[in-house]
Parts: sequence; structure tokens; C-alpha cells
Amino acid sequence: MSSTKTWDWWRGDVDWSTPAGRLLRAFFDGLPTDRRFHFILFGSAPLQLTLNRTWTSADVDFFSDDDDDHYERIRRLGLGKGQADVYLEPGYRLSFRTTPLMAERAKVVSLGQVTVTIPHPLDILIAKLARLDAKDLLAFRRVIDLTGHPTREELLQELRNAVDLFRPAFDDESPNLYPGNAVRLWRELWQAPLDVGRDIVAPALARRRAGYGDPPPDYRRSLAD
Amino acid sequence: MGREPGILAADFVRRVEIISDAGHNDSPMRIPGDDTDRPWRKSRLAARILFRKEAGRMTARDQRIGRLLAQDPEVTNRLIQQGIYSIRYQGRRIGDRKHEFDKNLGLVAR
Repeated sequence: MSSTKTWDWWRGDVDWSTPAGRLLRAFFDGLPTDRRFHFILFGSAPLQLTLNRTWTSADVDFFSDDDDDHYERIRRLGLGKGQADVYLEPGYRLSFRTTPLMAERAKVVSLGQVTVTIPHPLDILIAKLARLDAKDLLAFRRVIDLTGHPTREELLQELRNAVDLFRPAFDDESPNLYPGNAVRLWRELWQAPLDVGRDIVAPALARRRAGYGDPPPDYRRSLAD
Repeated sequence: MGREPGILAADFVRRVEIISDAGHNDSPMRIPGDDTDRPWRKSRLAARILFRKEAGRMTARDQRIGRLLAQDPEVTNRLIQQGIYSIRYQGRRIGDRKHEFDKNLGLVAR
């Protein structure tokens, strides 16, 4: 039976002969063999690994599912920043802010004692909305050129599912750039306006409320009467 | 020194619940000392009292316990509603009669 999911356009076949692939294999080969590891990739490397091998990316961002700090091991293997043309950049789970569907549609690959989660391009792109530098905007354009996705409607739906990304920032953070960057993205990609409150937040909250069901009547008052 | 009113109410509710749940024990794996489902049990009792109220069979004891439950911060309207949907009253689940039930309690206009 064929699936009707709107993210079926990506198969997630990994080309390990890409620069990011070779770097990761070198890292995995240097890991202890007496335990299992699980890494989650983010940044542009998943796009190079699964969509187009010529995709330029200087670093390979990843984090470990147990938040292990791999910095020292990477330095020892000579795969860190300033040590290799393409280098490993270990991060943390919190560095990758994206949609709640990430785990559901990611590709999970096993290589010996290592398991790698490679997020769907949608989740990679939506994380790039936090900054939306020129390079990030080009990433949106290129994914769309290569795959025809996401369409404007698909991305709108994805952003509604990720509505919590649009919440105001904490006091000691820099302002949340997602709302402004989403507006800019719409203008750049589709020459169209986007009203974040009307087009993303309101429909998402309506759906969330519907999921909770109707608010109950005041049964406590009836008990007290 | 007097007992904390909330604890007293909880003890009272527990005793009454045992009576009111007789023959309807759907949680046989209760672990002594584990109170994690206490709000749910009290709210289910509240739902049962409301069923009796709607049927015009509320007793003085129901009224007393109902007032206690109405003051209990662990008993929420949301949990009571879940109880109304999940328990059987006189052998029947509420099903499509929920709106009518709320209306009979004077909680919704129409």
C-alpha cells in the first residue's frame, strides 16, 4: 500500500563516499568496539549524504543520544576543526531545534556498533530558519530544485506542526528569529506574504485545542451545589 | 494535633470509594502506598456522585462527599469528565447521552 505522507519524496539513501560520509566512517572506525553508539546528524551534512554529493558543507554537525562529549576523541583522530578540510563539529541535542516529526521520518542507519539518525531534509531546512543566512536560503532553493519539495503548502503544514518554534524567546536569549525569517523565506521563495499569526499559529492552536477535546463543564461546581 | 484536612478527605473518599466501587473493580493491581492514581480515583467517585445526582438519587452522604471533592485540588473538571466517559452507571456507559447529562445538571444551556 502506498503511503500518503507528504514527506515521502525523500528516501534517505546514504552515499558514504561523500566527504561527510568518509569523515563519519573515519570517526566510527576510531570508536571503541566494546559498546554501541548512536549519533544524530544535523546541519547540511544530511543533505550532502542523501540528496546531492556535491553539496558543500565544511563541517558535519552531530550529537550523541547520551550527550557524550566526543570532543577529545575527535581531536585525537585529527578530525576536528582546524585539523581536516571537512571536520566534525560535536554539538548537543538542544542545538538542533526542529519539528516534532523529526524522529518519525528520519532514516536510521546501522554501521557495526554505530547507529546514525539522518533527519529528513524538511527537518534540516526548518532548523535553518533559526538563522536563515544567505547559505540557508540557498539550501531551501536547492532542495526544492532537486526534489520539487517542500511546496509552499507542505512547508506551511510543517511549520504549523512546529508551532512551538515560534514562541517568544526566553529573556536571556537573543530574539526568536523564526517568525521574521519565515516571513522572509516566503517573500524570497514564493514572492508571497506570510502572516505568522494567522497562517501558522492560529490554525496550529485550533488543532491543538481540538486534540484536547472540548473543555469540560464545571462539574466541581455541580458537586458543591 | 489535628490531621491535615486534605488527608482526612482522602481517607474518607477512599473508604467510600471501596463501597461505591463494589463489583466494579477495574484496577486489581493496586500497589499499597502508591497514590499516583489517587486524583483519578477521587475524580471517578465524583463522576459517580454526579450520575446519581442527575438520576435524582443523590444521598446525604453523596452531598457531603461531593462538597469535599469539589474543594479537593486533585479533583479537576477534566478528570471528572474522563470518569463520566469511562465508568458504567447502572450497567451503561454514557455514550451519546453526555450532552443531555450535562444539560440535566444545568451545566450547559442547551
